[in-house]
Amino acid sequence: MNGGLLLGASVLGLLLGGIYGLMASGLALTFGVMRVINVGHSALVIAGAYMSYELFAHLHIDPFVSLVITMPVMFLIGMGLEMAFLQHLREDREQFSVLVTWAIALGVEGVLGYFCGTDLVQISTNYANSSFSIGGVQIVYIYLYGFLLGALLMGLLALLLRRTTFGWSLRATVLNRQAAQLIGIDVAKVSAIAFGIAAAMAAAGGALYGMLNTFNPGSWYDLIGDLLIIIVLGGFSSVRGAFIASLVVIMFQEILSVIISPTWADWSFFMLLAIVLIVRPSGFFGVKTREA
Amino acid sequence: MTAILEIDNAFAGYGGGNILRGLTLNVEAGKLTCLVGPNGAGKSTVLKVVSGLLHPRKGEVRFQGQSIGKMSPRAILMQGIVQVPQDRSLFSTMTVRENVLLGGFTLSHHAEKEQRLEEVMTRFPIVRERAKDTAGSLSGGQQKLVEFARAMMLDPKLLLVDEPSMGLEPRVRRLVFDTLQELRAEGRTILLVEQNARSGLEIADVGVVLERGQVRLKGSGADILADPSVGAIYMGTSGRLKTRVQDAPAPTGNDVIESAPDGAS
Repeated sequence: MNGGLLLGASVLGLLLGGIYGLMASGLALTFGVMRVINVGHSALVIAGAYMSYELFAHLHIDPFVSLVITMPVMFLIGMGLEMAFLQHLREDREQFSVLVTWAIALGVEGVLGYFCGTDLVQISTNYANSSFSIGGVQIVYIYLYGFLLGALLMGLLALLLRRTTFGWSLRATVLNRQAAQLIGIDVAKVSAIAFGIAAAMAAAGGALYGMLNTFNPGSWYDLIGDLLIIIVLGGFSSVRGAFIASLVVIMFQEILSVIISPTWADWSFFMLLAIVLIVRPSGFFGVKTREA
Repeated sequence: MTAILEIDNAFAGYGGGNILRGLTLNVEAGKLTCLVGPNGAGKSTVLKVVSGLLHPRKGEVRFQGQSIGKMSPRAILMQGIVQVPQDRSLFSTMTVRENVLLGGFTLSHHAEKEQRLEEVMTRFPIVRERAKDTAGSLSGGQQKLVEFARAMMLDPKLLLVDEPSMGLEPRVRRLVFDTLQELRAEGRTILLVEQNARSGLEIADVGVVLERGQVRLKGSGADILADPSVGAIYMGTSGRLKTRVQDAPAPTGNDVIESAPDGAS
C-alpha cells in the first residue's frame, strides 16, 4: 500500500466531493422547502452542462465565465418548471412529485436530444489536463477550481439563508410549511424561487460535470442515484448536510478504489448508505421534527 | 350584537368530499366562541376556511363585512386574523426570539417589529426569559405560550386557536386555558376549537356544537355545557334523536338545522 497514493485519493475525493456537493445541495433544498423529491434534478445538471458546452464550442466562452449566463437562465427555467408543474400538487407531494419530476427529466432529455444530438461530448478546455504537484500529490486544476466554486456558491447560499428576509422565510418554510403560511409567508413564491436556486446550482454543477466527464442527454440516469444517496446521508433537507455528505461519500469512494479496486468503488455509495441507515437513520444532519 | 365574522352556508373539504356541509356561524366581537363536537365534525376545517388555508367551495365568509373566502392566507392575515395551529408549530431549530419576531413577518418597519416584540415580551415573560434558546428545547406547554406570543405580534382582531390542549399534560393544559381566559378578559375576539369540550366551554362566552359539518347547537358556554343532548351528539346518536323529536328529515347538506336559538342569550 502506497501512502502517497492514499493521500492523492483523499485529496481527489475531497475536491470531487465539493463538486458533487454543489449538485446535491439543490436537491436537498427543493426537498426541504417543497417536500418534492426532484428525480429530475440531474437532468437539470445535464442541461446546464449542455449550455456550457454549446457556449464553449460555438462562442468560445470559458465554462467558468459562462456561469454568469447559464446560472440565471437555469434559475428562470427552474422557476418556470416549478410554477407550471409542481405548484399544483396539493396532496401526497412526496409521491406525486417523483412522477412529475421524472416526466420533467424525460422532457428535458428529449429536448436536449433533439437540439444537441445523442453523441457523447465533453467540454475540453485547454487547461483540462493541467495539473500541479504539492507534497507529491498531483492536483488537476479543474478539480481545484471546481471545489472552490462549490465552496463559494455554498457559502453564498448559506449567507442568503441566514442573513436575508427571503432566507428567513425559506428556512421557516422548510421547518414548518403550514406555520410559515399562517405567519404570512407566501410559500408558493418561496418554493418557486427555491426551485430556481436549485436549478442555478445544478447549472454550475453541470458545467463542472461536463468538464470532468463525457456526457449525452441520457447521462442524468447515471447521476441521480448518487445524488439521492448523498441527500439521504445528509439528512434529506439539510443543504449543509448534503455538502458534507458529498465530501465523505466521494472521499470514501476514491480511497476504496485505491485500496481495493475501482469495481468496489461503485458499491461504496450503497455500502455507506446501508451503514448510515442502520446506525443513524436520520442521516448525518437529519433532525427529527414533527410534521404539522 | 356585532358579528365580526360571518360564515354563511359554507361547503368545504378535501378531494371529493365535503367536511363542511352548509355551515352557518357568526362570531361576535370581544367574545370567546368555542367550537366543540365529535371527531370529523369539521371543527378544524372551520378554522382553515377562515384563515385561508382552505377555500370554501360554496358559501360566504365575511370578516368585518368584507368577503374573505377567496383570499390567500397572507391577505387574510393582513386583515387581522391570526391562527395558532394545532400541534406544535414553532420553527424548532430557530430561537424563541426569532420565532416571535417571525410572527411580525408582514410588518414592514423594523422599529415597529421591535416595539411589538417588547410589548409581547411584557405580556409573555417566557419569551424574554428563553429568548436565546431554540424553540425545540422548550416543553410542550412553553411552546404553546410562545405560539400565542408569536400570534400576538400582529395584535390580531380575531384570534383562531386550534386544539391548544392537544398533547399536553393536565397541569400544563390549565395554564393554556388560563392564558386564553386572560386574553378574553383583555377584550380579544377568540374562536377556539377544542376536543376537550368541558375545558373549552368553561371559559367560553359562546359555545357551538358541530356535527357532520353543520352547527347543531349554539348557546352560552354554560348552557351548552349543561345541555344533555350534547352527549348524544358525541355518541353519534343525535340524528335519531332529532328525527324523533322534531320529525325533521336527515340533513341533506343544503339546510342548516339549529336546535337552539341563534346567538348567546
